[in-house]
Amino acid sequence: MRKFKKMAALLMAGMMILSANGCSGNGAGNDEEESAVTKEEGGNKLQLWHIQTAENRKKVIEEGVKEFSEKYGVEVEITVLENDPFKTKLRTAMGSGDAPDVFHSWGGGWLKAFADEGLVVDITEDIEVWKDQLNEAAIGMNTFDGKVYGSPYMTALTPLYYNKAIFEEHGLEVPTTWAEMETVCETLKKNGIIPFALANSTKWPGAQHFVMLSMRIGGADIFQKAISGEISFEDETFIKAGDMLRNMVDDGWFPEGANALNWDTGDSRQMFYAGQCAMILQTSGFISTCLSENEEFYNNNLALASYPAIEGGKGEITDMLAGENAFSVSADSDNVEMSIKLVEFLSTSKTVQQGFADAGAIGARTDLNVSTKPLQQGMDQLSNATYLQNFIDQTLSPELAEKHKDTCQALLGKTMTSEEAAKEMQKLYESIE
Amino acid sequence: MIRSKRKWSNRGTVLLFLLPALVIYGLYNVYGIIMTFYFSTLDWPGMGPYQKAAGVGLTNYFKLFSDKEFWHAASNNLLLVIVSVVVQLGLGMILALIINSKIKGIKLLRTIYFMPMLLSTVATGILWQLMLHPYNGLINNVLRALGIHNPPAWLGTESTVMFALLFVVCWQYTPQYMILLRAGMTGIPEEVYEAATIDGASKWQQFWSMTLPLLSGTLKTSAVLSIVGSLKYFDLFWIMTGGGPNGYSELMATYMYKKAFNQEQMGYASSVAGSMFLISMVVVFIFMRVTRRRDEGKGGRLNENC
Repeated sequence: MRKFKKMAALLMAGMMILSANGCSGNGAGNDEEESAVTKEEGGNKLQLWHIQTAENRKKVIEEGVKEFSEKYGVEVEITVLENDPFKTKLRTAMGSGDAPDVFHSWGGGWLKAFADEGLVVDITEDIEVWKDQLNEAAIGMNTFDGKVYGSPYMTALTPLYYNKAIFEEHGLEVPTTWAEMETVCETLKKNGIIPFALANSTKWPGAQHFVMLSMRIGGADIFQKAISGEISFEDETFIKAGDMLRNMVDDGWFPEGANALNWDTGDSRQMFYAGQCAMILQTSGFISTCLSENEEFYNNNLALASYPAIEGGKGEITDMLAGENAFSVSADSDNVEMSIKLVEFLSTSKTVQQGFADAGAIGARTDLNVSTKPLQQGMDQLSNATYLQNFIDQTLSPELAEKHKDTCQALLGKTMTSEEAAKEMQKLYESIE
Repeated sequence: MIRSKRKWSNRGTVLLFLLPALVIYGLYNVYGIIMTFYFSTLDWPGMGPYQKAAGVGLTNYFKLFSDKEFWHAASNNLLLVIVSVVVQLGLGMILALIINSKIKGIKLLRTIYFMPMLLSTVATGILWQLMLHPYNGLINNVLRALGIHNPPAWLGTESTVMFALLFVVCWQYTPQYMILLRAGMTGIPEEVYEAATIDGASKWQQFWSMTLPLLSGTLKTSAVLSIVGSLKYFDLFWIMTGGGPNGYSELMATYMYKKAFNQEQMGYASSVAGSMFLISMVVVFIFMRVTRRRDEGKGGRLNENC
């Protein structure tokens, strides 16, 4: 009896030690169970995943989907996630064969990575039917080797937002050159206002500053040149941009500890709304988020400008960092035909597209009515752009994009010099391309 | 004859009761762990079928050995282990003594001390993130009111981030050890203390020479829990800083997460997981060996005359 007790105890102990470690294996088992359940419900129900968490945009999609369901008799189950959680969840789902039928993407390298694995449906033929209604450049961002893998439903750019009330109060003009920007920031700081709001824990908001600086200094196509290998990531443009970014930190143009603030939970928007910061560089998605979160601010304070030109630089003030949001169909879907119809619907239906416009977002259709000033400013910037560069963290391959974001965060945290950052980028680029 | 029959039916019953737990455990833990070690021998991004991924043997482990970022993360884990054991057990012990005593208002104190445990980790993380916000957070506003002009950006500065994170972790987990230790204390019979008092032992002597040794089992259990928990810790660090700023507060678990889900290197991430497993086993083994007392047998219990 004693020997048996000992055996059982050892077994228990062994199991306890095992359970107190490496629980990373848990996911595999659980996912298999989950996917079994979902596959059975598959048939006549489509799964749609997107990131439009702002109430107004979320509603637009819900209502559009309702209309779609009534028209085609297919139920659609919607899952809404925030930006970074979405990326993680989708990657896991794609990896375990449990992907939704229709999913959001930003095109570019991120979507291409999935397409290369054969996980996305090629809709080149299908989109012929409706592509003329949409923004051509946006479709282009979902096209790889001549094949189209996604249909745009929203387009985006990266304006420089500013609080016009603060500017009026201190007699400031919107800066169009870097020298003017420096004067504006000096005045703001003298009055206890932080020039730029920034929440950089997710790394991409800060990286956008680096990208804009690089585009202004070296020309709009500087990143395309680096990606194609024409120039190196250690080109002096990137060094200069890194130095300028570090100087902005030294001059106190960003909040302290910006690298720990969280965009998704509103840390920087909160400061912008409260007037603690006067400007913010963000995607045009912010127009609609602001309308949804703080209508008063939207009506009275929000105004759009463009990142100023830099003296001696090759870039124009009208060169845009832009992008689009698209829907793609997963190769795993049980109902590819209906999924493609859903994608078409969300890209082209007047209900959805006009709904987005009313919610302050720029749709993919080229013929929409816009009623509010900030949104109109955004659309004008887009149509007057001299160059559209797709969001860098979407254009680069995933591993390189992570390195890009990491190095920019390090520059903002002053833990890397611009030479070190550039070197890391080039090293990684050479090892994978 | 009858005796051995009973032995067998006893074993059979026990095994039957263990079976459901063993099955679930085997499927979700043992199988998962084995698969993780298998994945660590692949060069697999995590998407697409793993069967097609190239096998690379122990390359991932060699890469890990010279990976600066991993060792930085491991050193953070080490710091977390030390601080957790010293602070959470130490403070837990003090609090346990307090709530075990008969001072006035003890029930209220008990409730207050216990509260941090009631919050979910995510809620705790977001709560403290808001409190530590450099401009609008409670902590810095209080500091400014006290006359400190430039309070640090706690989670955004390298020199303060670990301190802030360790503080929050201890805040959340100390009550757990307080409860565990107090439970251990209530197991010590009153007569022991009465006898000691009659013999003239001071309160301090009673604590040091009686309470502590009698609690050794509970203390060891708590220490093992704390050590292993700290080696695999993820939650609060991920929520509050994501391993930032720029990887300064990285833990092995957050590093593993990033490699697996952000940088599409599931094979490499699995080798991180495998290493964490091995490190934990070694550390616990060493700990159990070192703290084994002279009068304990191999089983780790005081020898009784059975």
